[in-house]
Amino acid sequence: MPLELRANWIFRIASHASTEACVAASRRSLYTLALLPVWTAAGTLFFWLWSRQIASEHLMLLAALGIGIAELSLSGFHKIPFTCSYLPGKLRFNMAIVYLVLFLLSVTWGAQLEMRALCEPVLYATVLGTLIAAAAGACWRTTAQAGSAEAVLRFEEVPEPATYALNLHRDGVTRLPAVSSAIGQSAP
Amino acid sequence: MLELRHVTKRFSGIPAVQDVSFTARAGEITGYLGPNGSGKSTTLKMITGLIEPSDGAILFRGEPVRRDWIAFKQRLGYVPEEPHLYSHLTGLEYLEMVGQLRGLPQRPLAQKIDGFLRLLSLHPDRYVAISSYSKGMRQKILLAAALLHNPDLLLLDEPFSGLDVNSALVLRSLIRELATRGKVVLFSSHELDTVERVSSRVVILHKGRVVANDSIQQLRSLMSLPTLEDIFSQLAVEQDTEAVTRQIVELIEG
Repeated sequence: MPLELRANWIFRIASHASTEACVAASRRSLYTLALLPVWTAAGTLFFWLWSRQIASEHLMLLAALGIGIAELSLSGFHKIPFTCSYLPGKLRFNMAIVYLVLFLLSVTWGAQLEMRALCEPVLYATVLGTLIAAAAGACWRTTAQAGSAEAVLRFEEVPEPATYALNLHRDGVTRLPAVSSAIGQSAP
Repeated sequence: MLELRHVTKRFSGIPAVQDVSFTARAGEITGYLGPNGSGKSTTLKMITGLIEPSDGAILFRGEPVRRDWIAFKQRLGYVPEEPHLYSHLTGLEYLEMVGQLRGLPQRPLAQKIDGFLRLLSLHPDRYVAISSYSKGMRQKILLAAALLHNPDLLLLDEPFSGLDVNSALVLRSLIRELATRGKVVLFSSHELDTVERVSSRVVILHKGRVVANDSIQQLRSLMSLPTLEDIFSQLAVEQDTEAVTRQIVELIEG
């Protein structure tokens, strides 16, 4: 979400930081302000509720999952937080229920898998290894995207062409360029 | 030296700035003049990179500015026309933020900020949120922010706007002093009197095109007009000011 958008000119003019440095700073902020407090609070609760072994095993899974989700949310985020314009139409509220159902299903499935894994060391190692590998992969992808030559910091959201918003881009024979490349070209 | 070569900006196909070419040299103060909507701020924004030119090239010290964009930004100080600042921050916090963005070391930065705040009479209000600042105070913050990193190129868009007489006199003298120290200074202003006193040369813009680009002395002798105001009126003012004045008075008096 933007904060006093018209004041963001100072970031465009005064900041010497590369896209990579900005993504790294966003990552630090996300880890420090979102991931770490939740993980610490959850850890305190779990060590109080459960045995030391179960609590620490669950926390390790939680950390790997949290890092993976944080890295996915940073993927392609070539912005300085709160300095870029925001087009509300991009948020699809009509899909919220579908996402909620999917989330609940995956949480239920994940909890069942974890329950089994906590009793079976091999399965636990496999699940943890997979989550760590996925988190590392997401982290590598986010860093590689930010370090690529095409990565430019964005301060203005480029509106989707009307043909995309109306889902008409497959009609007729005219092929339109991908939205992501159009955004990249017009970014300052 | 800052050089613009055939710079053009079109918004949705409509030209705002057309084929603008001029040079602002180090040690000189270049005044950039034009009526409202003539394209002054658009030109300055193109130099800063806030707006991408549709055509043409912008060079600093012979190099296209886009070739090493970060190095160019490090040499650039800019005061925009509108004082858009993060109003929830205090003046001190804003300058600290700008200094950090510029990558200035902590200790010298703190000393510089303290000096600027004292010299610009903002020290007593340094802990007050910018939302409570007057336009003049915001303008002073912009000036301090533009000068914190000792830039080689200064772009000032209406820098005297909102300043009291005392501060305006200080700024006028400061601009002259910075130019004598080898900075490139380009400033736009509506105050023709100030431009005439401060500038070495002027570029006059009308409907997006350069209509004059010379020293004030040269323009005076070429056009046989005594003041910059007369030159400006001849080149860039289309209305008959006396007729418009008469009509407004008639309108007021019913």
